[in-house]
Amino acid sequence: MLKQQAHQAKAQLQLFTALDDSLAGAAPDSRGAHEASLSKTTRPYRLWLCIRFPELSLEALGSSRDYPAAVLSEQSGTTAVLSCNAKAARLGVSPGMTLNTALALSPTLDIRQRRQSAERDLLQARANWALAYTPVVSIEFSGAVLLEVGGSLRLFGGLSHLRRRLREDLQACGHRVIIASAPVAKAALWLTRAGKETDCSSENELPGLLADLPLGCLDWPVAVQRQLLQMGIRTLGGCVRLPRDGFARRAGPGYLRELDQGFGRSPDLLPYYQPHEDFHEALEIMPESLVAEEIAGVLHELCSRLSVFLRQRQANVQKLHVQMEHCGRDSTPLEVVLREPCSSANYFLELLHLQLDQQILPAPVIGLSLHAAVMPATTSKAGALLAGTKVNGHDASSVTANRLVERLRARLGAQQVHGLSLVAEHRPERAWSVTEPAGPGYGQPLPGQMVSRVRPLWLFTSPRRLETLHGKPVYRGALAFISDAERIESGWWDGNDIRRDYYSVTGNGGNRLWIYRDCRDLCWYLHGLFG
Amino acid sequence: MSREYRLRKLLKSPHIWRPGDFSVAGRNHVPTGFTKLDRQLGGGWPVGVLTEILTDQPGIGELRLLLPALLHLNGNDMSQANSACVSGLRGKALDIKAPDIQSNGRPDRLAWIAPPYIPYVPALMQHGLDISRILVAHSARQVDTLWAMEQALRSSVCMAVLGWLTDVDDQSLRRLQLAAESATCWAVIFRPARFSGSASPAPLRICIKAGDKPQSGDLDLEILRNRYGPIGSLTLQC
Repeated sequence: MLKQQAHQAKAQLQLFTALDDSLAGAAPDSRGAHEASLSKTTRPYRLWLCIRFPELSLEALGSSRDYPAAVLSEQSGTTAVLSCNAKAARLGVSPGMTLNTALALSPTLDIRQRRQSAERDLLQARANWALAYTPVVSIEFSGAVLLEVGGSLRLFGGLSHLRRRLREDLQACGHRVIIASAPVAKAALWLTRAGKETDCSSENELPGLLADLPLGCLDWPVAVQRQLLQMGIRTLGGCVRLPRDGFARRAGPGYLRELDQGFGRSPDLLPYYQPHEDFHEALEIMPESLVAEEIAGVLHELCSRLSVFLRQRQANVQKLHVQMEHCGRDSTPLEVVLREPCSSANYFLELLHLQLDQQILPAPVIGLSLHAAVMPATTSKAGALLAGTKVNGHDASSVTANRLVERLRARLGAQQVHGLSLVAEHRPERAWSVTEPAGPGYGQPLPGQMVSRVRPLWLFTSPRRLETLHGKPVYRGALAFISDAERIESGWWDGNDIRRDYYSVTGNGGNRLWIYRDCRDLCWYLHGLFG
Repeated sequence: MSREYRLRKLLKSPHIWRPGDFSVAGRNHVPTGFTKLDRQLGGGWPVGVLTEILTDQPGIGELRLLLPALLHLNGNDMSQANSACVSGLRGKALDIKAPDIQSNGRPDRLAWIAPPYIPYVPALMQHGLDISRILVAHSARQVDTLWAMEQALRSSVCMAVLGWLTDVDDQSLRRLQLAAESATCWAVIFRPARFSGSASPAPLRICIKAGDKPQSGDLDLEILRNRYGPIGSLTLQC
């Protein structure tokens, strides 16, 4: 012990003197000793935890433990039981049995077809959940999730504490798990496959632990396993004791490499799990429902999951897309587009509620799915201390103005709420256009010189044809002309050219109208009202 | 106690309102731009309560009546509005000064809820309004219009909310009145004149008819109910 400490201290002293010399411009051959001492003292400590889900196929289909259930799969043309839960096993059902045998043993057996996509989704969801404990997660698609917890042990209070916590969380979700740990990922995986929940803390103990594991935990093809069995090898220890070149020739070099990786002799590179960029989750509504409260309840659950997702990634969302699925029909969409990114689940829920209230559902809803494109947050939104200061380049009031527009759009429809803008056009009906209600940065200076004639404050969407009496236009009585003609002739370039003479007139009731005479068909039309 | 003393004490009671007593302390007003109307309304359009304007024909001049006040809220000089109205009719070229806009966290939007026709942008700009502050919301149903008005009033981003309604019951108008009070926003609703007889909680109700000389922009206002001054009719030129 003391010798080890002395050795470490000497290595550190060598390190410091080497650094000192290099700073002072010492000779290059001292650098060799410096690098050697670095490699021994600064290798990172890695501990891989493997969580295996032995009943993954059942759990992915959402079956409960209250009644016997089994999952079927197609294997070489015959349908056989892939796995079954504890109740079914007690009645005698076991993997590999045919369907008829299983039904004979347990008449009330709940049979399900295997869905590999559901299993993959479940593994990815668990990998996402595991990211809360460590950033290095890898999925083993045969039914396990690997976590590298060397850096997380201190935060979570030690390995046993962490294991207990993981087990409790997963059992609360309804999973049966086998957890083992080892310095090498493959070794931990093999341990869980053999059903042993051991903790191996250093690489020196690995060969001892792995030697007794059966060949089945390697998951090699049946032919290779049969060949090794015929040679009299039943455990991993037996494989390792064989001469290397002979083993490589008989079984294959790939299997030899796998053994080396598992025993820590060669590096094992695992693909790390990258979480999805976007949020996509779906929930089923059991039983199908037309009641708004139940649908709203599921929406609430989805929105809270979204806000947890956003908080973990410190991100915002600007667009939400909800699909309400019906049986045998196209799904009904609900869409929320925000004017600026936001991460508050309550606000999303409010806008979705407003849209849901306006929606007439054609059929009962069997499931809801929420998809959101996630954007990283630029800066956190801090409130303004003084009323006049700008926050992130926006005013505090423009934030609430955006909220008002979003709320109005959620209930009335996105096209029904808009701002106005001027278009440089002579044709009166095109001299304006619908635009986005102004966000921050509005208030551009107005054009100085406008149209010379006064324009009516109200314009009709389409001009109304007027009756004529003795050649003069009438609208609820005689019309008295106030102004002389204003000729507007324009628009030959896009095919909608007009040639009109506009007049301001007074009607019978005393209101002022803006009418025109079309020079082509010589008819009078009412186009607007003054005031 | 003498009879005069008892009488004075009785008259001081808050349960009695005297027609000549128009000091409503702490009430904001937006100057209307017409001195006669200002005097009758006790300073201008009341902010924080519902103003109801009834017209028998749309487009008779109700918007022109409100324009000077809207420009005042915009921050423009009110005389510019009046001169724009009159000189524009005679066909002169108009030179509009750009209003100085600095939103300081105060409400500054103008919301138009369910306007009957298109608010024509060149005309609004001729009169000097800032287009970028306008928010237009169309709605098919009366209940949506009421909801949108309430949202706009409660959001405290609007300095004025104009809504067009037809047959509304008393309860909904009371809700709007409460919403306007909560935000101290200038709220105006326009209704057809056939509802002038129906009950309404709005403290200010004005019916507009065209005057004798509509060419010069005469308007006949009949104030049906006024909390801030005498009721009666007056003629304005705008």
